[in-house]
Amino acid sequence: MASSPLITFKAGKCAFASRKVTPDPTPGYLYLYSEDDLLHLCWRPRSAPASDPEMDLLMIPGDGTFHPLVKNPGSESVESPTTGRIFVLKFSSSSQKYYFWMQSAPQNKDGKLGLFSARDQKIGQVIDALLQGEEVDIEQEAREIREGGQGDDGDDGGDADAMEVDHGSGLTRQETGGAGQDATGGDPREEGEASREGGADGGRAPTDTNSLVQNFLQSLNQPTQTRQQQQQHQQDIPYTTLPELLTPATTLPFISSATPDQIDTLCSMLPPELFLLAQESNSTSSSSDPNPTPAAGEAAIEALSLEQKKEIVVRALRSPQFQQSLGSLTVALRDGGLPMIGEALRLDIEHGGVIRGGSMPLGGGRAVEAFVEGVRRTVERKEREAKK
Amino acid sequence: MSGGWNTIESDAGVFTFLIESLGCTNIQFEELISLDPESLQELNPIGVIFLFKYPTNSPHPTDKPLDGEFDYAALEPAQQSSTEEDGEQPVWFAAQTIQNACGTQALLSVLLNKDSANSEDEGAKVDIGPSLRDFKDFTAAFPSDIRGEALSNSDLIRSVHNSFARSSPFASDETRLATGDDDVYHFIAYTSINSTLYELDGLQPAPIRHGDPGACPAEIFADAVVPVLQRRIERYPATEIRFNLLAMCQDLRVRAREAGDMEGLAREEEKRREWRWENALRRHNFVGFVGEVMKGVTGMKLKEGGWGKWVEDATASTKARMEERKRKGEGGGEGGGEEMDVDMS
Repeated sequence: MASSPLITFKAGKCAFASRKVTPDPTPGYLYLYSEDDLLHLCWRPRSAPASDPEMDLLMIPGDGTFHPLVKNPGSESVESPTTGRIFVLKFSSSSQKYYFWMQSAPQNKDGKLGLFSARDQKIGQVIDALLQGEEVDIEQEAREIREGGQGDDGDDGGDADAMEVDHGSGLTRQETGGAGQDATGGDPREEGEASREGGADGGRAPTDTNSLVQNFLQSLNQPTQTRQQQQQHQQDIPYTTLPELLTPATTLPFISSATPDQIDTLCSMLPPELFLLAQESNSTSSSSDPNPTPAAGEAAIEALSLEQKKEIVVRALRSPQFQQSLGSLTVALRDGGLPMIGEALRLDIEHGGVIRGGSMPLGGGRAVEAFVEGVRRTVERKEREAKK
Repeated sequence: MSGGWNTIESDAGVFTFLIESLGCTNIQFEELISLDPESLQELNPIGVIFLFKYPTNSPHPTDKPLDGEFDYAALEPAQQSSTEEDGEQPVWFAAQTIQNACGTQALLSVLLNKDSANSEDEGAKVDIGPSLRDFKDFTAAFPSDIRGEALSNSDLIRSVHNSFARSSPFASDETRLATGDDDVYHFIAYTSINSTLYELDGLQPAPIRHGDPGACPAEIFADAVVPVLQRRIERYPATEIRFNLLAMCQDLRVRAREAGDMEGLAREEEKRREWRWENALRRHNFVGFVGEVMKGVTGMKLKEGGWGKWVEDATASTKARMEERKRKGEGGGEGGGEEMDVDMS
């Protein structure tokens, strides 16, 4: 891959249509790197490898500018006229514009979601300076940002790795799914909040894509305009839902015919508590540790017979909680969560779940269809690979 | 500004583990299927939580409750010395500020008035635990609206509450979407405080007293509350009654053990296991599991040659359901007539 990025920060793409800027929920990085004395400005989803940016623009020095989108130019406070912090990339050589939104948690306490903190502004200034071809001591700037930017209100509401600077040690991002501290895929208006609510899930900060999806689902609790806007742009198809696909009539035969390996995998995706409960006999007290460790869960799974494990899986499949989760996952797919869910589950989704030729995630019935097709494609590929 | 409160189910298991997580031990909830005085007496309840449909469009007279009397005197913040002498405790009452918190608020209304530290009723010793006691002390001198704010701003209470939230983001919105008449569900609490029967409803300006002061010692609470609840239920059209009644009582396992009732104990232990099972699933993120199930079912269907039919059948079933809905006059979605066509059962 090309040389290491000069500067990277958490940002999302935006779609721009009829004077409306619509943020794309996919968590991503905007970064600059230099190769053969040429500057590249790139954007990629956070879970994609660094060698594969979705957007890679060659920047001629002085051609591009990178500024915050502000509602009151010239005023002291730098604030976007939107519920998020938006940067605009413009070119003197063309009328093309790109919009990006900052995905790091907003640092101000007033709830002004469009307000750029000193740190936020600095990031923009560094990038703009680089685009002008200026010599920028990035180490120095980064230090200033880290030290000075912590607490416009005396509170570190921001995240420590909102911005990454290459220290020459080859900062390559090879995550295949692990997202940052408060990565969310939700509506940018809820970016800061949703990540905090994610802590309600057992108090763990999201470090895996499952939690990322959970945060996204929770962020759907707040009504979003982006959903409506997305649906207006696409022609949808009537399709079906996960609850209607995965009825007990369908799933139970699968369990009866499943291999022990498949059953074990399914068990590892259920809460360990279920297996510990199965181990308890009727006469013992039911007040053991309510938060069993994964190790305890694994031990319990191993102690059970295949039949017992199947019983537990079947019970889970029949539970109202599972049915509800199928419903909410369907809603998440329909509302733009397909790219993220596809990545979380490592599925071969066509075009990564975005509309062909663009960057908007599929929505509505089309998204569910792409999901179901993606699962089929993945299964077929695995079959082929297993036969080799 | 407080963080968000998610909706939780009004389920005996949820509420029991919720208060346990807040540090209150030896108390559980039991669901009552019907308003039957005998079964309620059996439980020897310290309070009752009543969940019902709250009509937001009918005008609600606020100077006088539909039943009972507003007890504004009980709103007076604690006057430490005088109440201790009288043997009376101040009533802990909070105004409701967050819709989604109302279940938790209702059960706290009972708990914080039953704190064994100052309850004169022998049969009503409840150990509410240090966290809740701190919260109670902290809010003792506040007026009811500030108490409500304090509750909605309590990180501890909110985070415990949210940890029981449903995984579906549209849980209780379903009713609103389906019927479109903007009714919400509301929780209120009934309990005996200072031997008086009170109805504690955070949306009302004050605690509501039913019957005369001193006429309802804790021992007869079960008897006294039944007619009050019956009158409440009768206010609603018979066809529309959807209510839920949860009794708050001593941990039934402890009671069974003390009575030497081994069979009863085994039953209660089994019930606890059920609750733990449900709660484990409630808190669980099913994304990975759904992915595996989808892959497994897809593999099976491909092998059988039935993949296409499987998807077709499901699509037909969805279509039929959507048409049924349109026929009934529900729906009306956003963005091109596409509604959230996901059935939440």
